[in-house]
Amino acid sequence: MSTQTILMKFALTIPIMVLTLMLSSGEAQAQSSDKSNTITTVSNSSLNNVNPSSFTVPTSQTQQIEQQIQKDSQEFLGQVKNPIDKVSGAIAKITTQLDQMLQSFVGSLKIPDLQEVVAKIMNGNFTDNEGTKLSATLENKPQGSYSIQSDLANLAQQQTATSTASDATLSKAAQDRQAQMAQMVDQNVTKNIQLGEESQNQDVTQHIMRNISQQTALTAQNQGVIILQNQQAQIDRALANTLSAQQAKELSELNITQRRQDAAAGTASSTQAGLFQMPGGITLGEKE
Amino acid sequence: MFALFIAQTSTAGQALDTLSNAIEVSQKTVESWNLLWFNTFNTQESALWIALVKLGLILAGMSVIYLAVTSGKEIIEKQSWSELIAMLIWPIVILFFLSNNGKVLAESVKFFHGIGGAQVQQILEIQLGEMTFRSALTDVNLTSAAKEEIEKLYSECQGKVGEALVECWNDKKEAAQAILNEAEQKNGSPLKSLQRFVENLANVTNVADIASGDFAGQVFRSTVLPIIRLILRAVQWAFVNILEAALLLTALFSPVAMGLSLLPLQGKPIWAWLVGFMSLFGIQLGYNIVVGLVAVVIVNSDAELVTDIAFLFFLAVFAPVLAVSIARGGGTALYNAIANNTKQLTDIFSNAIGVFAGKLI
Repeated sequence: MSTQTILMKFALTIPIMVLTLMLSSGEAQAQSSDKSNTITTVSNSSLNNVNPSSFTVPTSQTQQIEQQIQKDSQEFLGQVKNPIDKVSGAIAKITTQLDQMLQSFVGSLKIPDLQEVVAKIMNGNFTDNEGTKLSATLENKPQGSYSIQSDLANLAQQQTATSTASDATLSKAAQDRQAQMAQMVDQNVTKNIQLGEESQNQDVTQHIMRNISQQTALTAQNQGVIILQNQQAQIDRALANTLSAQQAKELSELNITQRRQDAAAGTASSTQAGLFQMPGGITLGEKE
Repeated sequence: MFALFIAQTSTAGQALDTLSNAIEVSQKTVESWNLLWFNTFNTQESALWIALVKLGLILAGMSVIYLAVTSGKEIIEKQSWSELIAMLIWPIVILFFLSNNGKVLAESVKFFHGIGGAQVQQILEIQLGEMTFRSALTDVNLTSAAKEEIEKLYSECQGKVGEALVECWNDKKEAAQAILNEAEQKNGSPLKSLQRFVENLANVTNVADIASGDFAGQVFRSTVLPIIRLILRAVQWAFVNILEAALLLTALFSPVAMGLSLLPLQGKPIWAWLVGFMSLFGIQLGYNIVVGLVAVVIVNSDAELVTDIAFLFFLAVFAPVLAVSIARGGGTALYNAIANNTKQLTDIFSNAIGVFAGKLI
């Protein structure tokens, strides 16, 4: 092997090594950006760490990539945050006093703090509710009662669960959003694959770098979707559990009520049996 | 397990406590009725009786004025002593009964009430075969009440299956036996049907007794059944007590009937009152007889358990209807007989006195 050939090979090795070093640096940045949960920062930092002069990539092209990624990220965030915003939107549509009440208890995730709602209702803070008043009138309990308050508390939990289920998953708008999200993820995956394939066929370093950055951003987007979906699923599970617990409680109450009614009827009947009298003042078991 | 033992012991210990307490209440009710009679007819202190006697006297006075206006002139013109005395007999009788706050009338009413009550009570002590009406009734009712307690005891096992059912079932044996013992103690003699029922509960495989009502499976019942029993028993209690109330109310109207008896009506109101008063005893007597007879039949045929609800229907609905219907017919006939004969008797009696007085004067 001639010296010239060795020199040429060495010269070719240098860019590869530099590229490898840069790649490892970019990956490390991407990982740290994942931890910070900010997709925009991921793309920015990874791109900022790349020294444009090393790859002779035109500045305008770098900025274009950066802008594209930022734009995608913004769109993505706008899309995936919609379902949760819509939940609060559902409760924000104040049609009843109960909606109004629930609205006053929404937390950071726009879900009412059900424990607080129930506690407030049971403490009698919502006795001016029209439904409660009507129930109290119909049951002839003008001062209100534990059961009526409990009914309102149950209704608040049911309404929250129904609204969330409807607006986050079951409504037409929610379905459209889910479809959009699925389409977006699908596009991301397709694009990711394309970029990977393209990179395999590319010899130009800056193209490969651009593709890798885009792929990282797309992957981060998909991960963000998963996280948000998980968050929504967690909310749904919590609400489903609340309703299940409510059902179990109601079932238990039904059983207990039935048992007590049976016992009460039996006791009343036994008492009446003891009250047996015959004309002339003859009673049961009386021995003269 | 320890908690279960405590619960079981407690249930067995309580056994028929509810029934015993109710029996005590019932006995107090009877005592209260007697006390009410005593207080109501206390001629010195009973404001109600005194007020009614005054009303009777007012009515009597108005009746005397009416008689004097309508018949007095005619009697004076005729100068008929006999008619004059005949006219004065009833005012004297009424005065006799209503004077001193109606003491004589009150004592008479209490006397009739005592006689009637004694007859109604004694009819239940009549021996028919090996038992009296009263013992048969006690047998049937205690069996029914004890069965109900046992049903309540076993109702806890109604929704269980498998080992849980077996465990629950076996846990109830002692308590069921305690209920049986207490019921027999109250009855003063063995309750055969209930004994067989409790034995069958211990030996659930005995399906042969399904027709006799002793079948163990009959321990499970719908929630509606105690309510039906409750209603029927309440109706029976209401019937018996309304009869007592009717007796007292009728007795209270005696001064009014006495006061109105001066009026020249077809029959004297006091006789109508007396017939009504005695008819109420007739209803009580008829009810006791018919119920006692059926109870004896049930005990003799060992059908206490199978006729549980049917007997309650009989006690609450059919026996009262029958007793009232018979007493109504008998009462009407009695009233007609008394009204007709009394008029003739009074005419003869007043004529005799009039003739005697005329000769003296």
